[in-house]
Amino acid sequence: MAEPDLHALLTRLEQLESEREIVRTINQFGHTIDYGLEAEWLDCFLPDGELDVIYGDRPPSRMALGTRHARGVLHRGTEQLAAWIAGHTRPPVRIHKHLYIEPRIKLEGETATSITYMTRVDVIGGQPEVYAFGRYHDEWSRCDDGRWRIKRRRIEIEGQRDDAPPPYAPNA
Amino acid sequence: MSDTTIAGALSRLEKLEAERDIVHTLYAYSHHLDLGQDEKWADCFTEDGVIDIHYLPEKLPVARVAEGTRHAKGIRHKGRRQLLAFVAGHDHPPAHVFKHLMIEPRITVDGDTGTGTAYLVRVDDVGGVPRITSFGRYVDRYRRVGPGEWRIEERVVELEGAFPGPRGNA
Repeated sequence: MAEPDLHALLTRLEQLESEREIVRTINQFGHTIDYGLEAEWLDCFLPDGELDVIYGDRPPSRMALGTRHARGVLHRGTEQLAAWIAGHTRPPVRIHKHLYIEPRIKLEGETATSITYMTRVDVIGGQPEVYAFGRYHDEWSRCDDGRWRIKRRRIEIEGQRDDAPPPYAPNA
Repeated sequence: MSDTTIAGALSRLEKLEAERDIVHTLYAYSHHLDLGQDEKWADCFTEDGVIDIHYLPEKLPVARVAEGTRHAKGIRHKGRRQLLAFVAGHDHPPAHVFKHLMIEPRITVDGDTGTGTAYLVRVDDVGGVPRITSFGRYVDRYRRVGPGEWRIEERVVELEGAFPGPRGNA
């Protein structure tokens, strides 16, 4: 068996670390949205990052400072993202968990793409219920601090309960 | 900038392995609990390990104390004997069939110790219908007890949503 090449080993190690860092940011997004940790949630994005919420046939739940397009609402840059997260529900008014499952990550040097399943669980009518599910389509960039941040996240909501309270505060 | 010396690469690899080993312990916790493997479940903890379950206010008065200690938010079970007493009274298959889903672990390793938070969702068969019967968050401390072997030193189970009635527990 040939002696392993150090450079090749380091490249493999770095790929594992990159995937781990992307998963870390995916999980950070979920935990911070569920506990109203706005600064840490914003830190998941690049300063010019985008969040594109696709509602399909449903009317958008809210606009915040975003731009309406044919299938949803696009929120671009720190100011618009901050407005979006500021209006999101959080405990104790609404208790929920965004569950991210099966991230499929493709690394391409300093950038990457991923698709992840999302299921949101809420307390509805006094008991735990699945509120929504769908997919996140993400574009990533590696940052100078070693973190990977979201350049663009497209949220495809594929199923959502219509008989539950709205997902956002009424004034959002 | 990543350390590309041999020593640096080994250190980076060990960190990845430590996180992977902790996740293995977290998976083992769920699988052993759901399969009714009490001793193996207790093995996920250090000898002096703690599980501290914070119940919803309406569930707290009827929470099972076993050999644990009641406090304002829940029941704390410390040490192998108390852990085994707790798990002995937990639902067991085949009388009850359920799965604990551990999702989105956020783990930080520091030498031979670590901390982490993760989501928990419990799914049960309720009268022939699969239901989410509880969800919440684990807030953990871990300790390395041997090569590749990490155990839970303390687990706080924050139950945030629960099914009414006898289901809807940790």
